[in-house]
Order: sequence, then structure tokens, then C-alpha cells
Amino acid sequence: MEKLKYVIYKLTRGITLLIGLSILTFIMMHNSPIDPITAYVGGDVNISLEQRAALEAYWGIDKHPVEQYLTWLKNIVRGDMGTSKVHRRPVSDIIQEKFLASFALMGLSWILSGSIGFCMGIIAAIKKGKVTDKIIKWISYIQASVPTFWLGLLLLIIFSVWLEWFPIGISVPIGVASSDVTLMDRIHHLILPVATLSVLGIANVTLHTREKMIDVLNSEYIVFAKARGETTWQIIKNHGLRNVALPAITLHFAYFGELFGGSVLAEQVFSYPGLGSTLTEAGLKSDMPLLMGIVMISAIFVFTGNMLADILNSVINPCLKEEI
Amino acid sequence: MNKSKRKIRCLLCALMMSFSLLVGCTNSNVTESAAGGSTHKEEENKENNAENIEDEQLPELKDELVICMGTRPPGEFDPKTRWGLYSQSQILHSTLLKKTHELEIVGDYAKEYEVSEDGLTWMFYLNDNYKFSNGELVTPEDVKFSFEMLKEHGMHWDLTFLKEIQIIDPLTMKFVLTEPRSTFFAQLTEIVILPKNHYDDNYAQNPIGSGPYKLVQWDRGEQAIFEVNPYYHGPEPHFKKFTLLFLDENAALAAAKNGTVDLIYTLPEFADEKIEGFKLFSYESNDVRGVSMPTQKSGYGKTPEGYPIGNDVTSDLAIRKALYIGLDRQAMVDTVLNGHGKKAYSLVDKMPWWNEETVLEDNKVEQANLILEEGGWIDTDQDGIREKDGLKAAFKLYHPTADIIRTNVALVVAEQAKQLGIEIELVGSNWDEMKTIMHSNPILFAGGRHHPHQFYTMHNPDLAGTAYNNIVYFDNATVNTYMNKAMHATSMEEANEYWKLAQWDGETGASGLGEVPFIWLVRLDHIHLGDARLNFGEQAIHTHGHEWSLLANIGEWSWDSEAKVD
Repeated sequence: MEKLKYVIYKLTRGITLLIGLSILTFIMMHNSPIDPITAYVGGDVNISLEQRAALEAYWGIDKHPVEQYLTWLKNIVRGDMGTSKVHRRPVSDIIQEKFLASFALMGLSWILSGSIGFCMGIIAAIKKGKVTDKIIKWISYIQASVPTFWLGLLLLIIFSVWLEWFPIGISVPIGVASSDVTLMDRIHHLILPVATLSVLGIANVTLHTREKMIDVLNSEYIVFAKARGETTWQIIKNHGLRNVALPAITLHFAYFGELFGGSVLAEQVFSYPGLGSTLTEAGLKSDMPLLMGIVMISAIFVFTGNMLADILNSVINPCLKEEI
Repeated sequence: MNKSKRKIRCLLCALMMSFSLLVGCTNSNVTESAAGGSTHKEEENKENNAENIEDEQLPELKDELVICMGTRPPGEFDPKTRWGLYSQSQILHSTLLKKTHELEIVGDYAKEYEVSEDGLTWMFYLNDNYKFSNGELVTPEDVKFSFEMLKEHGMHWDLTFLKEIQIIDPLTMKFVLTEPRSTFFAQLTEIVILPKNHYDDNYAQNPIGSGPYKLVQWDRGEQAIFEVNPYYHGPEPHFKKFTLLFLDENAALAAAKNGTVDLIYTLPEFADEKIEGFKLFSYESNDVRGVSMPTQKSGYGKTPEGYPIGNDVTSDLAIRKALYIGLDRQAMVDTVLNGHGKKAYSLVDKMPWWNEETVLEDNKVEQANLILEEGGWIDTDQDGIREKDGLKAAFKLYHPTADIIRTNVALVVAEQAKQLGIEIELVGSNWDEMKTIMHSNPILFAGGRHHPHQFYTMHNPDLAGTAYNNIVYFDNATVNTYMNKAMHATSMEEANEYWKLAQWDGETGASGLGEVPFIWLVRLDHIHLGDARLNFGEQAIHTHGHEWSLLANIGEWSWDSEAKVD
């Protein structure tokens, strides 16, 4: 019963969040200075007032904003996300295609930054005050303050231009038909964007894990374990990991939002065709259905991340379980 | 304890599995054809090896190219989205007529044509050997369909004067016009012949045409791959395949440096970059930049869309004339364009319909000051800015900040105008805002086409306030008469004479000598960095639109393995 209540509570929150967000996005797009008709037909074009009216009617943007929004809402409830103005394809198709590309990028970066950050945090805590700790701390501060796009450009110059190890951009080899692209090709093109995006999340996890681990190491049960003669590795394995994993996991799931933001920039730098670059294009071209679709999907994505963090927390930490 | 441990493991497993599943999904269509992919890889490797040892061995004859020309293909392969307006017509398609590099109009699908004395009946005698890239024969039905479809769509191609298209026999067509139209020649070279049976809303993804190349694959935002059209009627192009890579200028430069691409278009500030084996290819253009000067006084009214018209300072002819001759164009070419450009005097410089008298000596500060004083603009309060009847000689100049060249030109204009006692306040903006203020404020404008129709739309009072046509609300009866005569002329030669008179007839005109509706300043050279062994054939003077100007004749490009970097 308690669990059901919890699920209903979470779902209600999720749905109200989506509705609120869609209204906000709609209002902002509606008031944006970008004129969708001009964005669609392009700059120096002879378009008569009649043609303009016809286009507005075709897209339904001649109607009252509230009516437009309600139409959109009605369609989306039925599972119809509409048709993109720029791509002239169903929004759901575009999102599906781009989401998979972005998910490979974000998923890999997420796993990488999480595991690297966690390990670095633990090492720093064990070596607290020593040179290793200082180096890890400094690296983390640098990572946290470096802008993603700048780092992307730096990696591009070093690894693509100087060393020529990796391609300049895009997700597939140049001039190769998509039916001939191999998995290795895809991975080869994914490495630099993933590296760029991973760095964004490492510092966060490292520093939090380090703090928590230091707390744990100072606790009485660790003193007791030491007294029993356990080695450092045994202490970490038996008593440390579980306690430390908690903040790391919470943080890392909650980090879905930043991950998404970072991927927008990384995708721009590497001309990687994911959700991020599509979102930018939709915004600049005032492609309302596409933009709303992507915003909704990413909101669900971030919301799910936060919810998973809550659930995992309760699974790992029995203290929190009671509260659910 | 044990139970929850198992739970964690389960969860982690599930998580990992979902990731691998998803990653698997992205590549599912890929792994199927892994075999094909690996052979291609081998080929690529072989090629790379060939490149590496080319110095010792026979000079390699390269027949594939990778090119960067901006982040998206302007026109996007469909005339409904402006494909053809920027010299792209002869890559994937054929047209009824085409122009040579000297801008002469010659036959294409129509090997010969005839215009009746009254200019109303146009006969086309067609070729019988034109085929689409799917092997089907091009027929007059396809031509009729293309023109009628675009006329009805009406957004980018003004064909309102087209009354009727008749197919007399499979090799003869007759176009009937409601009024003579000399700029129809230009449209005939731009409107591509579409396959009637294969044209739909998704045409851009698979644009079947009868040009030298066909589009094999287009990944939006990534690349477009072109291969030769096996059914092309003309000589086979040297380059069997070319890939357009959609990168921005910075990424493109990086790609050129790491040897990924053979050719990029670039900005003046990157022109001096040294890349091994590359050289700078620079082409003259009529891609002009200038300042639009609203010609009506404020309070003139509102545009059809409700934006205000008119400006009290720029509507004063003395201000426009003084700026026209007082500004130092060479300084702009030297600083803003790094020397990669020419001074501009009109929208149609170097075109067959250009009136060469419009070239004036500029940088005449004293003469400009004299014009201003005679016009009543005198600095009475000694603040460095002239006044007339209490009105300061000051106006705002809007420029799109995303466009570096326009922004820099605007900066120089404002600086130079100070010497004339004219204060220009720069406003960094974007096209969405500029569209609403451009009828009442000067903006940093651009233009340049291979036909005089843009000159017509930019100065025609009937079109004022629509789109980017005649944004300055220029209205001069004499100019109008000449322009109408030019439009109704039955030959290009006759039309050109009237276009020249419309610019300057000895008394008035839509140029710097006459009414100065625009102060044209510089023509950009279109600059590209490319492999020194590339040969781009005979290039026509480039037009506004950097991207496709060079590519227009890619079917004629060749590879000169002996060529060295200068």
C-alpha cells in the first residue's frame, strides 16, 4: 500500500512537471522574436501575404495560442508528437533516431565519468593529504571549471589535428554509405565526444566520494576494523564501498540534467548528430513541434534519472527504505 | 543483507543490459552489413597507402573529393526550398537553358529556343538524349510539371506571368506569357527539371535529376555523398564521387589541417593559414555588402506587416550622397576583408547590365562635406555632429552580429562617418529584429545575382515592404519606367540597355550618381583553401552565396597532379 502510494505520488509529480514545463516552453517559444515563417522559407524570399496566411493556417499558428497549445496537448496524449517543420518528418521518428545516437554518447560518458570519479575519489581519500590526493584534487578543480566546448576544441586540436588519431567530427566515416559503416567506425567517431563529455562529470563524483570516504575512514567502526587487523583494501571493500556508493549514485543519477546540457555542447563541437544539435536547430528555426518533443523527452529522461537515484538509495540504504 | 546484495546485483545487471541493448540498437543496421564495411575499409587503407607513397611512385590521379562548404546545403536539393537560386542548378539537374562562365545564355535541355517579336511566345526545341539518374528519359511533361508546380507554390519563383505551357510534340514546347519578361531568361537557367513521377514532399532525400551527379546519401548536419549519374548525357566528370561535409568554419579548417578534406571555403581571417599542399583559391564575386538607406521621411506609413517606414535623416539626399563618396572603400577591403575583395559601387557591378558610369572616386571627404553644407547640414553647436533645422545628422545602423564580415563593415562605416560629421550608432542585432526595423533604419545589407531581377525587386515601389524587396521604399518614376521597359524587353541586349539607364540616365537613377537608395561598399572575393592540384575549370563571376558558387561547375573540375603550391 505504501509502495503504491509512493508510485502514484511520483507519477503525479512527473506528469505535473511535464505539463508545467510544456506550458513554459510553449510560452517562451511563442514569445521568441524568431518568426517561424521566415525561419522556414529563408531570408530573401518573395512571399505574399496570402502565402503567409496559407502557411500559418497549414501549421495552425494563426489560431489563439491557448488553442494551439491545447491542440498540441490533445495530440501528444494520443501519442502524436506532430511533424517537424524543418525536417518535414514526424517528430517521433526524428527523436527516436537522434535519441539513440545521443544515448550512446551520454550513456558511455555517464558510466565512464561515474566509475572513474568513484575510483579517483576513493584513492584520494585513502591518500588524504599526500601528493596523490593533492593531484587528484587539483585535477578535479580544473575539470569542474573547464567549459565543455573549450575542452572539446582542445581535444579536437590535439587528437585530430596534431596526432590524427581520431576523426574531426560527425558520427560516421566521410563519404561512406550508411550501409557500409561498421560498429568500429561508429566507436572510433564516438571516442572524442565521449571523452569530452565524461570529463564534465568526473570532478563532481570524485570530490563527493572523497569527502564521504574520509568521513567513513574516521568513523569508529573503521577504527575497530583496523584494530581487528584488516588491511586497507579489506576495510574499503567490507565497510567503505557501500557507504560511499550512496552519495556517488545519488549524485550521478541526479546529474542526468547536466549530462544532457553538456551533450548539447559536445555535439555542437564535434558536429555529432544527436538530440543536442537537433534541439539547437529546432530553437533557432522556431520549429515548435520538434522543440517541444525534445524538451518533453529530455524532461522525462532527467526525471527518470532523479527517480532512479531515489529508488537506488532506498535499496542500498535500509535507513531510507523506511521513509518510502 | 544477502537479499539486498542480490537486489543490487540484479539492478546493476539490468542497467548494463539495457545499455548494451540500446547501444546495440543504434548499430543494428550497421552490423548486418559489417562484411561490406570491412572491404570498404580495406579499400580506404589501400588508398591511404597510395597517398603515402605517391611521392616516390607515379603521380596519383585522384577522382574522389571531400569538400566543406558550410554547415548546411543552401536550398536543400528541392526548388521548393530554393534549390537553384544560388547557382546549384547544374549539379544534380539540367535546366531548359544554362549560362556559360561568361554569363551567356545557351541551350541545355532545350538545344535551341526562339522568342517571338512581342516577347509573349517562347518556343523550345528539346534534346532527346537526357536521362534522369534512375534511367528514365526526361520528357516535356517533366518540364511542364516543374514550372507549373513552382508557379503554384509561388514562394521562391515568381512565375505569375506564365500563362500556358504547351507540348507541341515530344521535342517541342511552347511557353505563353501574359506579358513580355526579359528576366525569364535567368529563371530558365535556374529552374531545374524535376521528374514528374517521382516528385513528392520527400524529394530532398532522393532528388532524382538529370545532371552530372546524383545524390547518394544525405545525413542532415553531417554529410552529403554525391556520385556521377551513370545516365548523364554529357561528358563524364573527372571526379567520380564527392562528399560535402557539413562543418563550421573552425572545424573545417581543422579538418583541412589534418588532411581529412581536400577543399574548404573560408573567411578572410583564415586566408593566410598555411596548410601543407594547399593553396588559396580566390574568385571575384558580385557578392556585395552595403548600407540600405530608407528614402522616405518618417511618418510615411506602415508596411503590410505593420512595421514603420521612413527615416528623417537618411531620407535627406545630401546625407546619402555625402556618405556614398565620402567613405573610403579601399580601407574596408584592406582591413575587413584582409585585401580579399574589391570596391563596390552598385548591386550589379561587372554584370552585362551594369552601368559603368556609376563608378565614382570615393574617399572624397572634402567634397562630401561640401555636399552636406550645401544641403543645410552644419555643425552649429560644435559637437562634431552636423545639424539641420534642429535635427542631428545621426542614425542607427543595424547589423547581424552572427555575421562577422557585416559587423566589421558596419564598424568601419561608423568610424569613417565621423569625419563627415555624421554620427552612426551601431546596433548589433539579428534578422528577426532587423526585419521589423529595416524600413525605418539603415541595415548592413547584401546582394548579388547572375540576373538583373534582384535589381528590379530592390527598387520597385510595387514590391516595397514585402520580404527583403525594396526595403528602403525607393520610388522614382523615371527609374520605374526604365525598369518596366527592361522587364518587357524581348531580348537580353535590349533589356540591358534599360537596366543601365535605370541606374543612371544622365539626370537620375537608382545608383550612387542619382538617388543613392543603397550605399554599396565592398564586393567579397570568395576564398577557398584547397589542394593545389585541384583545377576548377572556368568559373563565372561568383554571386551572393559563397557555398555553391564554386561548386556550380563541379562536373568540369579536374585534377592536375603536376601542379605545385605557388
